[in-house]
Amino acid sequence: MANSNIVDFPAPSAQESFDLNLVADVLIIGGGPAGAWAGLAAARAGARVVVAEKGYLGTSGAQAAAGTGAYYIKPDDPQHREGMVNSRLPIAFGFAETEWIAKVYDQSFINQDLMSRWGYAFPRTQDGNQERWGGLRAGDAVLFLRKQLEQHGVTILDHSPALELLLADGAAAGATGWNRRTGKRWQVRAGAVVLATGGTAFRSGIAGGNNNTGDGYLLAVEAGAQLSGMEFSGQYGIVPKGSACSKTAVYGSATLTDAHGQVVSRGKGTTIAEIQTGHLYCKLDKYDDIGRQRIQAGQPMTFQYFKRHLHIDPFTQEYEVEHILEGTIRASGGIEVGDGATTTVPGLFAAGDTTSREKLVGANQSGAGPATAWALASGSWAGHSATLFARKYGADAATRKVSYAGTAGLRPSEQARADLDVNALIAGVQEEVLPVARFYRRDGKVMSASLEKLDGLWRDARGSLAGNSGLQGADYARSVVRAREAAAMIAAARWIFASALERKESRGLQRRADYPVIDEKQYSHVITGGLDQVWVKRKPVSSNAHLHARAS
Amino acid sequence: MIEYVFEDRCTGCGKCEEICPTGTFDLRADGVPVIARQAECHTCYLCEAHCPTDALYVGPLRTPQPTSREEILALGVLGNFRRALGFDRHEPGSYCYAGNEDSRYAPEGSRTQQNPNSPDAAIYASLAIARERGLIEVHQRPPITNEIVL
Repeated sequence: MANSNIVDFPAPSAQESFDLNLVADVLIIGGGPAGAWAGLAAARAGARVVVAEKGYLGTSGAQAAAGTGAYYIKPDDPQHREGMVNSRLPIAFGFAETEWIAKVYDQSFINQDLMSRWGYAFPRTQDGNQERWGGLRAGDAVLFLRKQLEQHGVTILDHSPALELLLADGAAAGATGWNRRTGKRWQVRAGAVVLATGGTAFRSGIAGGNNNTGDGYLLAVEAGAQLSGMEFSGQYGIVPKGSACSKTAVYGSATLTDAHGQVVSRGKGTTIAEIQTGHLYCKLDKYDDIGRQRIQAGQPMTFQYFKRHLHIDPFTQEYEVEHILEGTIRASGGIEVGDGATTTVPGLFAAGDTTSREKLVGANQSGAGPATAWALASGSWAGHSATLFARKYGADAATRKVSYAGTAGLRPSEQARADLDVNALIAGVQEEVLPVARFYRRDGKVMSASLEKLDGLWRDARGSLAGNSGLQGADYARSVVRAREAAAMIAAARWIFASALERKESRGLQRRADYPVIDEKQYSHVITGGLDQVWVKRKPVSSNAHLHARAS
Repeated sequence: MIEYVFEDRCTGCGKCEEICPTGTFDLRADGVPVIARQAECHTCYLCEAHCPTDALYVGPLRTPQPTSREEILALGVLGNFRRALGFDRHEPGSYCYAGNEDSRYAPEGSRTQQNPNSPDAAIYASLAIARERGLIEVHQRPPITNEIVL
């Protein structure tokens, strides 16, 4: 913290003790592309900033592992802009808004311009003359942003998951958490808080996904915020059998076949093939020689499977693939945010995959292109808004009276039970959300049973789940974090099933076996929230989106 | 998942333990990493990418796949992911323009001249136009006036 402008927090609470007490204008929870950009925007607007990241800021999160091509739309080329926006509208099922899309891409363009000015070397074209904007490399782009954060004097807390928010008069006022590397407990008092904790794939095993346990949804709802579009979450990627790498680029040049050798199309075709025939096979037979070289250079992670495990030539030989849940990391549901990345809680802002991206991509998947542009743009907005909020209302951030908002997994309402197995709780959630046969196309009766079971898991977690008091130091910290992750995943699954039961139709990533077609009477947002009692309500679609839906 | 540490290659720098986002490693007193919590590993390969001496091996499966030193060496893959990311040529996250850059040292992975029918082809085509208009030329662009569009 040599380069820090953060001061020690002067008066620790009497009841709660912390090893590290900091005060900041803006606290950002999560250090992927969205959190990093929130930090940069806040610091550039003059705020004192702390970013608390569960893993290591630079390697943590879905983007750092996968690398992404962020869509971008040049502001001065009407043709390019119109093409990109309009191509997206028909697959958004009526929820996307042209103005919102344009605003996201304008901001993302500016962010990428800044990255380029700061020295980020976007990949270049073959002739070496031209930057390919949007190319945010795996392992490199977020680390680059880390260096910018350091230069902007931002305090970075690595390995420091935030486990609960602090509230002051109903406004977000900071957070507490543990450092799971050192076993130290920390508290940051702040004038405003940004959630950038990513989506969740329920620890399905996708590369880079284990830290994404939906913590932000729980933090937000505990503070009183609400979620939108959680039913748009049935997003699966394809991986070689047993592999973690769900990068999709190769499957556009592949032939996919079911167990009987029938050729199937990607998406619905492959999932039905896997569910009904039990197996799915792939051959990358549509590449020419140059294409083979390029795809291997461009997708090094994908091809490790054939270098390290299955020693075949995937361009000429068939291999088995399977579906794996990518969940809200690549879908569109999440914390509802409005202009300036505001939530419904004062002083609480949210950015990136943890938010609803319905206004950008509607009921469909956000993929990497739109999602990364959204991370950059919404991160900037959240950081900027949080700074303005903190400046106006956060002067007494260090001294105001706060309450601790944590519930299940952290502050059990009854006696903590040592026999409550946190791994069994997580496995209990995973049984309901990971299998493609269960979660891709959903049945009302099955979902009702899932929800009932999950309500029971929540009651257990709420009443009796906490860190393992038999452990010490970092081991204890890790057990607290794991308990809280279990609570967050149980909660996320409940909000998903409650929303999916409410939406009695099939639209985009919400596929109902019992309601297989679009029903225009269902054309409204499903909003959800609540902890012990999960609630859902309807919200009309904005008139902007409505017009576009009619036009398209 | 992380499967193997080559102790004879390891310099004890501790980078893998520092940057592992899931806390998979512990460090011994001599700085050599121990795979303490393999189940936490989410197969991101970033420890391999950051290891300056290619002393780590990550298996491609999301479940443990026990292997041996000899088997791994026979694969001939140590460090291939680090090199693919360009981390053998540039400090991770510091890959910068320095004067007149030689494009031969740009990281592998530019997907620029893909299939002309791909949806991205339009983007690359418009990039060329943007460059003609001076939008993309780093040293010639006008300053930004409105950083945050809100």
